[in-house]
Amino acid sequence: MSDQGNIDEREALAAEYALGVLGTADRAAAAALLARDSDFAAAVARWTSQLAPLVETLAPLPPSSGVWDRISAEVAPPVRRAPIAAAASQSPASFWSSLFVWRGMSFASTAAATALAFVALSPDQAPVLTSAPQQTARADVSAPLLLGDGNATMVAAAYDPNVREVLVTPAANVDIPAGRTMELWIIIGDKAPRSLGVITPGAAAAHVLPGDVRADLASGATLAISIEPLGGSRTGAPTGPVVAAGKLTAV
Amino acid sequence: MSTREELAIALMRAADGDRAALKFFYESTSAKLFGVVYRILADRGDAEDVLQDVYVTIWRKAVEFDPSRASPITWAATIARNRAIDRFRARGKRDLRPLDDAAEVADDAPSAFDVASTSEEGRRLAEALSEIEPRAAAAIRAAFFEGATYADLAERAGVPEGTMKSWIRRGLLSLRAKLEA
Repeated sequence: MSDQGNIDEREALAAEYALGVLGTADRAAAAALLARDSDFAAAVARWTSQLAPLVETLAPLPPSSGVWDRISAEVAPPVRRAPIAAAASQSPASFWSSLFVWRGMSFASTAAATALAFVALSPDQAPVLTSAPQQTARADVSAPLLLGDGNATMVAAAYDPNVREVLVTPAANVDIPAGRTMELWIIIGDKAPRSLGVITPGAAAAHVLPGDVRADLASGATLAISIEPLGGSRTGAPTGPVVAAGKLTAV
Repeated sequence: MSTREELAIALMRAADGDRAALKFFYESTSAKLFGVVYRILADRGDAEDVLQDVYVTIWRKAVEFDPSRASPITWAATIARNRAIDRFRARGKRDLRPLDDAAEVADDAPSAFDVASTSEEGRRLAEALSEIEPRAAAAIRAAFFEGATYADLAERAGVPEGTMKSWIRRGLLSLRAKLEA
């Protein structure tokens, strides 16, 4: 490596390309190589990633105090998404009002401490909630988030922050009306439910969380399951009965 | 919880429309990013205009931030670098500043602030840069921060282009050897 004669020409070219130091003609030639040679492309990607932290090697310099005010003025207030009440107006109200009642219970029962929520999954009844206190005091998105119950008709959910997915495992013997399916929703705060996709009894499946909901998992989110037409709700909001819901809490 | 995690969570909250999270992110990173922008533009007024644009861009692009691929500070500072280089080139003036010396590299004993806003990768790279030949380190930084080509750098340093190419190639390979040691 220290001997000039041993320098890998192609590796050096990858480094120069990633650094951006090549003149126009050499850069065009390297770009052409990049397009047809995956080894060279990988070398460029490696160098790009190794050089990126160069941006941090400069000494910090505080900007004038007025800059934040200018940024703040330019940054629009957050767009409010439709609250749950709006979704309820498009669908049978009783489904979501039962969820409201349930959520009120869950907040009351878990107010004192972080809790693990258990939810019964039964198509015929309102969701049943029990909770068990957890010893961990620190809320952290890297902790597994659990939803489930020891009984037979349950759904278990765990959140993996590394892959940003909720792994959902519904029990196999869930009774679903013919021609219907279950759809999984996530509800953050007073925002409208967001679909995470349809779920199949007995089949574990990973559901990717949208980027804009991930951040709020640390403060808690609610998972809910509704009965929908095959293929899922056509409206983007829940239309059928909510058969299970549970608050995700860090454990 | 480390600061890197706090910054990542702040970005994800900002992606969800939380302006207080953006303010926290600004307060934690603005001196670092202003250091990058000022390094490229060398004009306080221009640099503050670009910094404003950078944080508005961060606010809009926060949803694209992927914590598995970059540290929050590297991600944000890369946006700052690109915006500042765009502004620099838009001026249409050639930069004949001499290449900087190695003193520009952040101090080996960073302040509490630096610890809060520099990733482990950034600290290791700063250390490796301080160990390679100073004129190679200066040329690499000028290329990275200004998009300066071999011809530009050779003229600024007053050496033949082949010499500059040799400095930078050896510098880069030496840098990698230290990073991967």
